[in-house]
Amino acid sequence: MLSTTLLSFQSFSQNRFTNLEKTITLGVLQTFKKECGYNSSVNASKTLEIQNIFKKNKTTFDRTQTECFDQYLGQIVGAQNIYQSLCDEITQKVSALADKDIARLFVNVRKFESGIHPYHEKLNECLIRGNVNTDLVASYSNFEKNSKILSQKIKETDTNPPFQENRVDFR
Amino acid sequence: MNRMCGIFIILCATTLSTRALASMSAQLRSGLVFESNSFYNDTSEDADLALVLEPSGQFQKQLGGSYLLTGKGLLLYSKYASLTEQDYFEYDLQMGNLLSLSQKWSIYLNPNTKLESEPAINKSKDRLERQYVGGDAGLIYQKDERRQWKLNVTYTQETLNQSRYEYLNNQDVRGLLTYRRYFLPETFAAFVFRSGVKNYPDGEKFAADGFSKYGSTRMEPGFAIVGRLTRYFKVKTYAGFVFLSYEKEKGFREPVFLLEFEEQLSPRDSIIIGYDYSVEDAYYGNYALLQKMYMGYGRFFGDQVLLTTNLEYLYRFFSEPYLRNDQRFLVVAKAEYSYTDKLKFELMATYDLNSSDSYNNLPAPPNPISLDPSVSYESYQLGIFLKYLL
Repeated sequence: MLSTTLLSFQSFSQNRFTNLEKTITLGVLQTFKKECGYNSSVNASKTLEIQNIFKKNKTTFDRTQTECFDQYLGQIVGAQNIYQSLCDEITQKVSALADKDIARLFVNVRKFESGIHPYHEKLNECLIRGNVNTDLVASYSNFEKNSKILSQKIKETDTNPPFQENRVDFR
Repeated sequence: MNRMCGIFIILCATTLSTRALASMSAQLRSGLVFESNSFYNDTSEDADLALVLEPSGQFQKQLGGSYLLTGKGLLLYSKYASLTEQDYFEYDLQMGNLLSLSQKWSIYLNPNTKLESEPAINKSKDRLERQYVGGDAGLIYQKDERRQWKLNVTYTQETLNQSRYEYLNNQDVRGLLTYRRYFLPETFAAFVFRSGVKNYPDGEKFAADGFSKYGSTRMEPGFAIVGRLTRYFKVKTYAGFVFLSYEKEKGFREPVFLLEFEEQLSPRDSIIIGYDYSVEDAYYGNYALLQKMYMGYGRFFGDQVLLTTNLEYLYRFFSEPYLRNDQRFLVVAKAEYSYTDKLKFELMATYDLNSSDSYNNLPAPPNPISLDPSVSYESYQLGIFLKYLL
């Protein structure tokens, strides 16, 4: 992933985009465009939830918990703002953009496509590591839970045969 | 899938140990199921309606920072409208005890018990019940963040409730040694060595009547790659070689493998495609070769509706001395509607077709001899359920 990003960025800095590179880059941006609206709205409510947890409980925080929120809450909000602005920008017709803008968007998408997830994960790990009090830990975004739930639900439909074959009743 | 879960049970244990959240949940699932062929017969199809009650629950509690206690239970009661003698009860109870001795060493002991009920072959027979009692015990050595060793021993005792099946009662002991190494954050390669002994204490009790079952030993070295290869793509692969040997009959050797791919097509839908080729001990003959191809798809519609489907083809070859080939085709579709966070409605449809070349030539009233290949069956089920989360 990183090498692709560097390759494209390098190509761009040399002021050339081959057809193949442009196809790959536009493909990545189209995929992001398809799902960023949904992810962004889910992440926005998740960010709000984490901010509310902070506001509601900050008077009772111990030192470790305060440090966790000081360190990661700002990063979560920042990541969400960048993701949202990227999504707003990319919803216009991507193929009509100049190569320079496509390259810039591509690099930013690769950098921030995970949204708030990495910072949210760090916050939760910090809280779990510091204290077993899990009331402060906000669960991950719905679409991440959805992915696990979908896997689990699909596998639940894997039904065993109604009986195990045996010769006593010839079945 | 279950086989892989057994092999990589350490994944669950590790996940629990690092993300120990105290939690408890319970639910009651209740509904009506129409069964088109309650006895899974080819010659006559007895349809019936069943009322199903299925309470279940689980809990997880971290105690003292180093001890994790988990529990999981499911009860199932099915009451038929007209075939009242075929009502049945099942349960599955599991308990987990994981103790971290240090940052690197952990031990666990997970007892479990399960009761399974199989449909009778006709109205005059009782359902066959299988009682399983046993557990897992093991040792985990976490060398560093990326490398892990695990030794697991599983013991299961299976008891069947009808005297004419006594010769199939058995004890199964399996050992599993796994070395796992992460080469990506969520992806690991594993070397696996599995061995086991299955013993049938009464296996020759009915030998004079032509029914006998011999104990076997099994060895299986293998290699697996499991985890996420890209952000949206997960893989589960396993390749091994099974050595089966029987006390009084010819042994068997065969490579086995599993390929399963999961693609998250969008935040709302996923697809799973898999092929599983395995060898398992069988009650019909010595062993069975299984080939399972499956494709599952799930999708969220809006925030409240979840649709899941599964298509499966299973080919089974039963070994000597009673050769037999079965082909099963299964389609399952489920739709779940979340009315509230706690109340859900579920619709379920299943089509199950088994085609076998084994013929039942036992006398079956009213005919003196049953001429149909009665091991085959065709069945569909339609169900509507209500789920309440406590």
